[in-house]
Amino acid sequence: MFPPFRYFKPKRIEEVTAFLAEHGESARILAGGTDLLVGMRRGEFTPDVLIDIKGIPELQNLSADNGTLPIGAAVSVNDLLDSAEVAALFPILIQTALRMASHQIRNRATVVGNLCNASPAADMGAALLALGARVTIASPRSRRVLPLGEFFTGVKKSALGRDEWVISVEADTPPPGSRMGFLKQARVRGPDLSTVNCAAVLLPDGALTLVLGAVAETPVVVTGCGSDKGNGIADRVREAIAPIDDVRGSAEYRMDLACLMTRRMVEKLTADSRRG
Amino acid sequence: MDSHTIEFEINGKRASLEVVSHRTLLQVLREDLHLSGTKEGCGEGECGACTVLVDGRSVTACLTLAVEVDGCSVRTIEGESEGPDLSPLQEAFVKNHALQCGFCTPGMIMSARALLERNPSPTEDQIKEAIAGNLCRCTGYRPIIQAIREAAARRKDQSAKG
Ligand SMILES: Cc1cc2nc3c(=O)[nH]c(=O)nc-3n(C[C@H](O)[C@H](O)[C@H](O)COP(=O)(O)OP(=O)(O)OC[C@H]3O[C@@H](n4cnc5c(N)ncnc54)[C@H](O)[C@@H]3O)c2cc1C
Ligand code: FES
Ligand code: FES
Repeated sequence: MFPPFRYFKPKRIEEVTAFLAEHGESARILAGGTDLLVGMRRGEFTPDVLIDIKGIPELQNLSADNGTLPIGAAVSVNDLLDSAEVAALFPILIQTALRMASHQIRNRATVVGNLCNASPAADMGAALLALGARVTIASPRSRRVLPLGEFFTGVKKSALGRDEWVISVEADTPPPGSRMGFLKQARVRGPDLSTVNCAAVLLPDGALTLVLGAVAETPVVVTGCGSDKGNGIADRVREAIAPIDDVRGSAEYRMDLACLMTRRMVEKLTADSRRG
Repeated sequence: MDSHTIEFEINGKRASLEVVSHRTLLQVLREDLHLSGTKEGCGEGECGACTVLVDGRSVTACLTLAVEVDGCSVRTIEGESEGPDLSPLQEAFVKNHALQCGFCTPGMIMSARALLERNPSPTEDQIKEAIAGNLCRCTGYRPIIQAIREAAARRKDQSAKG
């Protein structure tokens, strides 16, 4: 079914980096495989080498430290759902995880894999962008930290160089009194990719970060929302996004959905904060 | 061709097997181990017909490489009943007419088993959530949900009796 490839399962971060440096483009990282193996089955990728990163203990890291939550590259979406700490500090990530795929896919799918696949519809991509998250990238030269906003560069394209890979994604705990939410519209109520998704964080000082997904080549941070939560925000959304037609919906439908979901999100977050 | 020797447990028995890297767990279960209860529907993670448990967690065997289960414990529908008797889940499926063609059933039962192991008293919504990744094209979901509810109740009775 798949063309032959070699499989490595290193135990250390440095080994992954060395394998990538040695094999370059012909190697691929295997996390949960829920995007990679589907793509390989369809002939979209034909790697000679797969590097399974699930045997590296540090990549399972998921414990908040000093107000920052690191999510290691081997942490699955269901690991996130099982974490009481994530539920307490980042309800937006729980809301997002619950709307992703099915239970059996979430047991394998990693949060970082969702980012690295760089789909415009990536649900964790939208939620983590709204949180202002950063990725830590390893390469033979050094480690670098990149804001997620600079990580997505196009449809299935990221800022990773050919010998670079992601060790973790980090998000800072929003200040007390912040509100956050994730909304997703798909074709069916069960597992499906987003036709449009919307993630937002509202800080206690009124500043709003709004992200819309599946409406442009990458998830979009709608800038200039400031604390304007009135009608002006729909104009901002229309300017910021460039949806296309595909099997999940037409461009026109997506434009309307994006504006509607933005309005619902603002209502939800401001109602939450009125309730205190 | 790149191959690896994997040691794992299959339905409670230890096994050691030489597998080539690019074969899926689904292929190895069905073709090498002749455990053909696990089905292939879509091959892309969408239908759940290939659902098996790896270390107690449900996964789609079509999107899992066989080499990845080295050191793990794998459970398939063939390991569901112990001895000649059907398991409470299997019995409840029969009693509630929760299958017609039966193609989705092994995957449904594995998802249900994973659910009952992590949550012995699921609500109806939790049952629906747990089988959302398992498609049934002929029976309809109502009898399946009812069967899982009944099996949960029976498992609880049994463990209360000890
Ligand atoms: C049935 C089904 C339903 C789905 N539903 C949803 C959904 O509702 N929402 C959604 O957003 N997605 C969905 N997906 C897509 C997919 O499950 C997610 O994107 C998932 O999070 C990918 O993670 P993974 O660990 O499986 O990645 P993999 O498939 O292992 O990897 C994805 C890509 O990223 C690369 N990669 C992985 N980890 C790293 C790393 N650390 N550094 C560098 N590169 C890396 C891989 O080489 C590959 O190219 C669905 C998929 C299926 C099959
Ligand atoms: S065959 Fe694996 S999910 Fe359909
Ligand atoms: S019984 Fe036929 S698909 Fe479910």
